[in-house]
This record gives sequence, C-alpha cells and structure tokens, in this order.
Amino acid sequence: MAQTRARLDGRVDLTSRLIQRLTQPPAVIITRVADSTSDFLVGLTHASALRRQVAMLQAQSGAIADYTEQMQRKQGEIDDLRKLLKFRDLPGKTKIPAEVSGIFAYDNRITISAGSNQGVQPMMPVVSGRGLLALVQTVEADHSEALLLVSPVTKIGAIALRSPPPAGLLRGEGGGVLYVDFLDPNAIVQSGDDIVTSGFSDRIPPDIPIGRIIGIEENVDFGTKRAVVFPWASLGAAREVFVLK
Amino acid sequence: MKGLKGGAICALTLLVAAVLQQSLAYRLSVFGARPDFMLIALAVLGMFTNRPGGIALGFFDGLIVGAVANANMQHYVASRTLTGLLLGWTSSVELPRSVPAAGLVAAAVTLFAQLTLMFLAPPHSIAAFLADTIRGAVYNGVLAIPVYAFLKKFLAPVVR
Repeated sequence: MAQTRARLDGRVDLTSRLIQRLTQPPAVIITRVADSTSDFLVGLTHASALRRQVAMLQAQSGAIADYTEQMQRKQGEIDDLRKLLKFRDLPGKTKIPAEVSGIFAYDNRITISAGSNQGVQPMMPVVSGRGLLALVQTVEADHSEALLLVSPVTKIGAIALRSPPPAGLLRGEGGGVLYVDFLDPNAIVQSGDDIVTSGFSDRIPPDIPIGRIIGIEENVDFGTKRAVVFPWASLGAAREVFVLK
Repeated sequence: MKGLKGGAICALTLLVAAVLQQSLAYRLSVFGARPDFMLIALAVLGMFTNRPGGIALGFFDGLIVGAVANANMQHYVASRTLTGLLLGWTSSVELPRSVPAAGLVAAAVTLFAQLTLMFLAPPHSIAAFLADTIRGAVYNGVLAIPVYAFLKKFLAPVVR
C-alpha cells in the first residue's frame, strides 16, 4: 500500500529507499571492480589484437586529420574563387586571369602565369578574391614577378573608408601586417576602419580592398600617425588571381 | 540457527546477496542462465531455520528483492514468504542436510518461488520465463553448494 501510494506521488517508498541506500553503494563499488577486472583480463588475452586495433585507429585518425585539413584548404580556395568571380568590374580596367605558379615568401615575391603576351605591365595590381595582394614588378612573355604588399619595397597610396577619407602611404615591413602613414597627423581613423587603394595612380584603380586597421600608433613629438593594417589577401590562400589591366 | 547471532548472519547474508544481485548477476550469465543470489541465500539460510524462521526469512528476502528492483513488493513478498514457509516445513521432515543436498534444495526453491511468482504476476512469455527458471534453478543449485559449505561454519543446525 505504502509502495503504491509513494509511486502515485512519484517517489520511492521509505522501505525501498532504505534498502537501496544500504545496498547500492557497495554494489557500485563491486561493479567498478568487476569492470576493471574484466577489462584487465580482456587486455591480457587480447593484447595483440588490441595493439593492431590501436595501430589501425591511429592510421585512420591521421588520414582523417589529413583529409580534414585538405578539405579546409580546398574550401578556402573555393571561397576565394567565388569572391574573385564576384569581384566588381572596375571602369576602364580589364581582368587578366592568372595562377600563382611560384611563391617566394622570404623575398615577398610571387610568380604569376601571365605576362606581356596577356598584356601585363609593371606596377599593375594583382588581386585575389579577398583584395589587393601584390604589384607586378617584372614582366616576361608568359609570366610575371610580383611584389607582395607586405614587402618593404612596396609603397602605394591608400585611404581609410571614412568621410572624409584620410589618405596615407601604405607599405609593408616584411611581416604579416601593413602600415599606413597618414599625411595628416590629425587624421581621424580608428581600429576597425577598412583600408582601400586611393587611386592616386594611373595603374592602381581606387577602392580595391586592402585590409582593416587593427591598431593606431601616434607619435606626438614627431607629429605622425600611422595605422597597423591586417591585410585581407594572404599569400597562402591565393592560388588564382587577376591582374587588373 | 537461533538468537541474535543467527539473525545477524541472516541479515548480513541477505544484504550481501542483494549487493551481488545488483552488481554481478547479469555478468555471470552462462548460456542464458543467470544466478539469483537472493534465492540462493533464501535456500541456504532456510536449511538452518524452522518454520517461523523460514517465514520471516522469506518475507525479508521478498521485501529486499522488491525494494532493490523497485518492483511490486507484494508479489515478491508473497512468493518468497510461501517459499520460506515450505523450507521451514521441511525442517520438521527428516531430510538429509548435506553440501550436495544444498544444491538440490536451492534448485527446488528456485523452481517453487519462481512458479509461485508466475501465478501471482504472470509474465508476457510464460515459455521464456519457464526456460529461464529452469536454467536459473540449475545455476542456483550449483552456486548454493559452496555457499552452504561456507555458512555451515557459522550457523548451527536446525533444532527440531
């Protein structure tokens, strides 16, 4: 009766609870001991099979990791290609498609598979799906060498996307970031502002995305202001590019 | 078996059986047969008791089984109390009390208790239940032999 009443109330009756509290703790301990003993004995009798399984699982795990990495890289490339396809047409400019056929990271230089035969000329911008990547430096008939934006040699005009847009000179220092030295030390810019090409050049059109400001360095004594810019286009992610003619 | 010592040994044995029932019974399955430590305890302890002792033993055995499994206690208490009564009754009959006899008693107790339970709470598949009962009776009979040999050292023979 008490058990039925307790069940109807959604609880365990007093007698059952008391007995369960007495028996369950040692039962749990014995179960664990039995599990451990069973595992130990299985380990002893199936050691070689277990070793084989471990080796097989490790091999499978490695293969899965490689596959995942490859998939991620391919996905990045697909994203870049999609962006390239959507890259807006710039007035008066045509896009020369090219492949990055050589990367010389130490020299901040890439080789692209388009040259003078395709109409490539020095100082033309090389863009990936994410933004401006490099500037053509030397041109051969069927290939060209381009200097990456992060190269200390590269210097181009850039503006921050603000109103009015403060202008500056963008340059690399060989690292993973770019710097914009603003012409006006009182220019109003802040972290998070996007940097694009200024277009103060007959070869480099305006408004090509370059990167985003991640820091501002002000020197009051010298009256200078420069922004640290994280570039959108990265060397590793670029395989297919366009040269803007 | 008499007095406080006997009662304490019975209580301890029933509790140990309940613990083993929860933790080991399903692991020791052989050819589909699983031991029932509570029935083994009832059978072996019942060999040392008289009729009132057998009834009490059966009652508490059923109570513990029902409580541990959180099942309907009434059926277990009734079936095990009846079994305890039967066991106590056998104490007044001149039955051999020996280690091998413990195996037979445990098998018989298993059959009787489970068949009584079957009538009180009919299972879905009676054929499967009977097959399990028969297999369990054999298993319990085998396990009861060492248990009886062990408990005999602590419990005095039944006073008729």
